[in-house]
Amino acid sequence: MVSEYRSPKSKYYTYIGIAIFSFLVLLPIYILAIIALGDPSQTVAAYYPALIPSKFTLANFIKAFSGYGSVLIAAFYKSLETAFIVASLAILLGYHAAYGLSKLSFKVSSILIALLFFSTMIPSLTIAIPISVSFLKLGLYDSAFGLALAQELIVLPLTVFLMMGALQSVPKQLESQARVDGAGFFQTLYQVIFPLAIPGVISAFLLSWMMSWDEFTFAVILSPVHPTLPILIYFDSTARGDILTATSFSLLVTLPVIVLTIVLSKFIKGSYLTAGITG
Amino acid sequence: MGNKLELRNISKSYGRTKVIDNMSLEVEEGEFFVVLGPSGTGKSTLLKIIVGIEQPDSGKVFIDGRDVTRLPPNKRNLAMVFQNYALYPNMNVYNNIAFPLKMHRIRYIDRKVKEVAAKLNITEILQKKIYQISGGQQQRVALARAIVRNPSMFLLDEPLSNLDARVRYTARSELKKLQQELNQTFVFVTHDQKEAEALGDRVGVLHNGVFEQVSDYKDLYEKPKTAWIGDFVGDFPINIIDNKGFRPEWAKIGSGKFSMTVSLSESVSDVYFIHGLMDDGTGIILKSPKPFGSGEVVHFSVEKFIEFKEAENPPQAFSSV
Ligand SMILES: Nc1ncnc2c1ncn2[C@@H]1O[C@H](COP(=O)(O)OP(=O)(O)O)[C@@H](O)[C@H]1O
Ligand SMILES: [Mg+2]
Repeated sequence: MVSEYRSPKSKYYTYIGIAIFSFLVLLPIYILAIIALGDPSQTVAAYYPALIPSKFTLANFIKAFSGYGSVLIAAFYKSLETAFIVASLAILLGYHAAYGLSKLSFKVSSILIALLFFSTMIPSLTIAIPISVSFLKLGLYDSAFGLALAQELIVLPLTVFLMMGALQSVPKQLESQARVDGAGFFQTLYQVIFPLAIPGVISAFLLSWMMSWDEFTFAVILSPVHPTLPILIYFDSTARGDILTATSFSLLVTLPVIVLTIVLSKFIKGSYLTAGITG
Repeated sequence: MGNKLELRNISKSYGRTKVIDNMSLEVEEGEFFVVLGPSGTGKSTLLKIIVGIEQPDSGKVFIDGRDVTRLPPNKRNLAMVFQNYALYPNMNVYNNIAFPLKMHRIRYIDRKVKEVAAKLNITEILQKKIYQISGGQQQRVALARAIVRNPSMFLLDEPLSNLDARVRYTARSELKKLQQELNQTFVFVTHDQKEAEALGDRVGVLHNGVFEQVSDYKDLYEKPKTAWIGDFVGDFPINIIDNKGFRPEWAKIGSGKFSMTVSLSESVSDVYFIHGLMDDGTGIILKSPKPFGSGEVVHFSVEKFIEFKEAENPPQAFSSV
């Protein structure tokens, strides 16, 4: 056990590392926020922009969103709907697939996982066109559910992989114990194993949600009439070429991700998992 | 009739390792049966086969005279305490104990949980998370979860081996008392012969995938069927000269046709165990009222012995100290 003892000093190094990392990640978001919310005279129009602007304004937002609030809200809602369908479906399918895979020998399951990831190597563009033809026939074209199904192709392999990791952290013996205590197969699957896999499930949910949230290729081909948020912003910011409106839009895209991450982060603590198993 | 558990010609292999080899066993109603064996001999595997987590390659398991070989664990109505207790980490103590009741749709859950908690002295910790309680308490919670409903018998996989020595002794006697109170059948697995001695009505010694001997503990010591058992059971391995086995206290020091050179004297309370080597290199341990110095030659005679079968290889552990 090399890492058993950790000196107080090494704890500081950890904090310093975390601080640097957080700074690198948060700085772009901060700059985005001050451009969107700060007065243009202190941000984009200034030679030496202040790191902390003193004058704030909502004018950029008003300018960006005025005139077509309903389109924007529709796009926002469509993205939200799609992302939640994608994430929920990914959990539903991924959990069962991962459980099945975890029962196979390591050799076989790794081959299957590799095959799953192989499917993501096919460019979305190649399959988006034939999918759109089928969707037109099935009435799924331009619908959130149809788009979600297509995005599942990119999301599922990763979700299954993450979920397998989550299931591996659940001690096998708890499953046996539950069966001995009288739980049937499905009771064990949903009432014993699932709650213990929650940290992994939440991570998988978050990741698939985010992958859907800013997915572009399937969205632009399968849902062009009522577009999702990234598509709308792309059309709009290229058309208008205004950095101030573009940053307002970007902030609108970023905020839900931050909110969701914060809300779900308290579930992603796995330290209590092995506490029931001594020895 | 009267048989709680019967194993009929059970075999089980993992890949090429044969863990259980055509084993048969009958355990009586109300019996405290101990399975004793060194680690890795398949004790846990045996319990898993009885409870239904593992399927035997061949053979049958009967409980209360009913063939349960093909039934899943949740249909066998057995209770089991795993070696590391396998408490549900996301539930508190109360819900851990209530879990089997919920699964079996048994009524009066609250009353039953509290009754069993009182019996096992864990009422104060019912609302605690299971990582907030000590190993001894975890063991009680696991036991409480096992006895809270009315299973047809209990299987325990080394439930005391994770406890500190102090707690272990009290837990051991409490377990025996509990079994007598419940008047239920226990199959208890251990590698610790002291536990087997203290707890077992009968002890089955597991070796090479079968029970090499099933008897009460005293007979394991006094009348071991094989040299291997003579070696495994007892504080000191049995002495063997020419396929005749004798315990240290069955020999008399002073005169006789045998002699050995003393290597060391070990004091145990007020007597001594003298370790030595005979001329042909055979290790011998004798009981003596006084110590002998290293290098002294001691003569002794054997007053009582057991004849082992020919061709029985003298066990490894004889290498002298
Ligand atoms: N699931 C398994 N797969 C492969 N080998 C196993 C498995 N479970 C146990 N074994 C092997 O079977 C033998 C007996 O194991 P076990 O029943 O745990 O012994 P014990 O409980 O007496 O220590 C050991 O050699 C162990 O390595
Ligand atoms: Mg074991």
